[in-house]
Amino acid sequence: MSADVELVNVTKYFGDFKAVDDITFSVDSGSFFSLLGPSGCGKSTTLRMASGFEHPDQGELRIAGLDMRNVSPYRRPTNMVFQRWALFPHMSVFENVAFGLKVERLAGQEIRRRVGELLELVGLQEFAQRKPGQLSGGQMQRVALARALVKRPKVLLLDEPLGALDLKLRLQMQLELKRIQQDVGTTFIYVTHDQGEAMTMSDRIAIMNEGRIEQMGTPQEIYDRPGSRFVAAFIGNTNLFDVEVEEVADGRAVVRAGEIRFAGNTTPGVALAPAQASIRYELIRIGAASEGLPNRFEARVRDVIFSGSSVQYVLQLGNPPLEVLAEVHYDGSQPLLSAGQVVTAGWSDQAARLFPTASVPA
Amino acid sequence: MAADLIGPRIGPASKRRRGRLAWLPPLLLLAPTLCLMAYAFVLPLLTFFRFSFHKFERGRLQEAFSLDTYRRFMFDEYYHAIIFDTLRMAGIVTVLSVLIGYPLAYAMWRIGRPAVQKWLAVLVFSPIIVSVVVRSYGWTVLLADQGPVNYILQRAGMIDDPLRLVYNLTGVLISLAHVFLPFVVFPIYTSMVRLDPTIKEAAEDLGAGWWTVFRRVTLPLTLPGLVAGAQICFTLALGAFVTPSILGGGRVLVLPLHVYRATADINWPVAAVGGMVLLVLSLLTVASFNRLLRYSEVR
Repeated sequence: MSADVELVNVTKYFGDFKAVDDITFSVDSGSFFSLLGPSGCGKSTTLRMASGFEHPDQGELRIAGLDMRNVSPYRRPTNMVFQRWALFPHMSVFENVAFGLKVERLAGQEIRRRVGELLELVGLQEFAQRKPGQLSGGQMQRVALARALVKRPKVLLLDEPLGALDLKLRLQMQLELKRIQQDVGTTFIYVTHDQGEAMTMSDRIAIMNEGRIEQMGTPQEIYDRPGSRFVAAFIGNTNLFDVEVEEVADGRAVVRAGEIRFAGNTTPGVALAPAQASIRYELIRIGAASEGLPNRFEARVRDVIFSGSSVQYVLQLGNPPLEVLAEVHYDGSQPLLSAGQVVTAGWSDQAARLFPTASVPA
Repeated sequence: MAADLIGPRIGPASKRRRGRLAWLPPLLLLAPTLCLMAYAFVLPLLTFFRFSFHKFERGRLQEAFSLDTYRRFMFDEYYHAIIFDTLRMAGIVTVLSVLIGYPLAYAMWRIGRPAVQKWLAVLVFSPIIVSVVVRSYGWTVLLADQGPVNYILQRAGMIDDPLRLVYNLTGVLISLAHVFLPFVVFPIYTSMVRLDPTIKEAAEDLGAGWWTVFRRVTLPLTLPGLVAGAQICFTLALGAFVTPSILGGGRVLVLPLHVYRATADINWPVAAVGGMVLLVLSLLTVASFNRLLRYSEVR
């Protein structure tokens, strides 16, 4: 598989502020790639550099093997879906989608055919003559997508396109975006701060923080083996707490937090010093489910948070109490625990991941 | 129990009172304006309307009902010429102002530096700050045969004889376009500032160069501002009096000037009908520009 987009040591400043700090990645042709991170992490700037609206101060940017240094946005083989869609309010849906083809001076018949195809792909044939002001958010979203895809770009850039939609529509559009991406086979680069969105749709995700890429991999890799404390906290729900490392060898370490002593997998930089442990909510087992696990402790239920398909228990382990959250699947077959109850909680040898304590407190 | 009985009675009553009094505060706020308008606009208009049916013969006003003056405005070529000249002057001034104002507004918008924008705005606004009489005499000096404009053009070798720039239509047009510029620039500028910048980026991203972006996106979306500016400009130019009288040098006879002369001659009927015609022209302008606005609007 060849790479469609390559960034090599790209850095971008806004004044004195380093928005993007020496990032390097490549996106495989035909794949769905997400840039995920909190706001201000440099993900949108990275996307805008790919589109040509911003220029890297250092480093190299190649699209389809060609250096993009002096190529303006309107000549790049990329098209963009903007955050608030940026539809042309004075044009109908048809004219919006046809805009990019008219600029190319294609024949009217060809334009009608291709616009028709795209409107069919996004299911908006009946709305061709409407103005954007007469459409719902989801429909405008589709128009923006059709308008960009009709140009048959090598790479489609999407800048938080679902951010302005309500939750239900967002979930529905996620599936639809993925379907369209697989249908047309175009490379998608998708910028979002919503981990759920990135996890659902992406083949690969790059997690960004403060202008740098923290980790890159498939959604499962990132979820199962977060490479840093930031990634562990950002993706999914996890218990993060301070521990003291007592033994460390071959990627494993034994750590202690108060009376609680357990072993976990280390990440680079963990030494015989304070560290942080991460254990995901759903990896903590309670009661009978914890039997046979190597790390088992007596726990007091402090609080019960019921949310339908799952229950979260706030547990206190040992003395002084270490508070952790455990998430248990709920199907109604077992009675809920109640606050004050004393149970056994435990986790497997692979559940805990250990990170070096950041030298600069976050 | 008692509360149950009283409660429903209080509810609707208080609501009704609020409903009846709701119009009072706005009315009080509007009262000064309405009174002034009635006294200073509606009453004179009615008086004028009455005078317009009177007759003026051999230097005397006759209070007999007559449609004579209206007939003259309708069929006399002399009045046709005046009305046509008035419309032509307003039209040329509007076109001139838009041609100068739109690029100016565009430049102001694209500069994007608040400090520069502020000073440009002051500069554009400056003609209004200066009294119309002072400004007009200033222009007569600048545009005179021996004035600096002609001097520079002659020294530059672009002309041999001085251009006739003042005491004719040219001088009036230059001065009016100068003073109406802010009325054209600011509505256009406002419509540009309101444009979502990502819309322009979207057009660029889809392959449009700057000219296509301007023609297909920026211009259509700022057209409402342009039409509003042109509307103000045209209406103001229709009623312009001081500038044509000073800079026209008696060669530019527009309707307001004619009305002024008629009042000086105590020819009330001609003045009245002239005023009526001006009013109708202004109303027609507003109406037709609004029509234009509807076409350009985003539906």
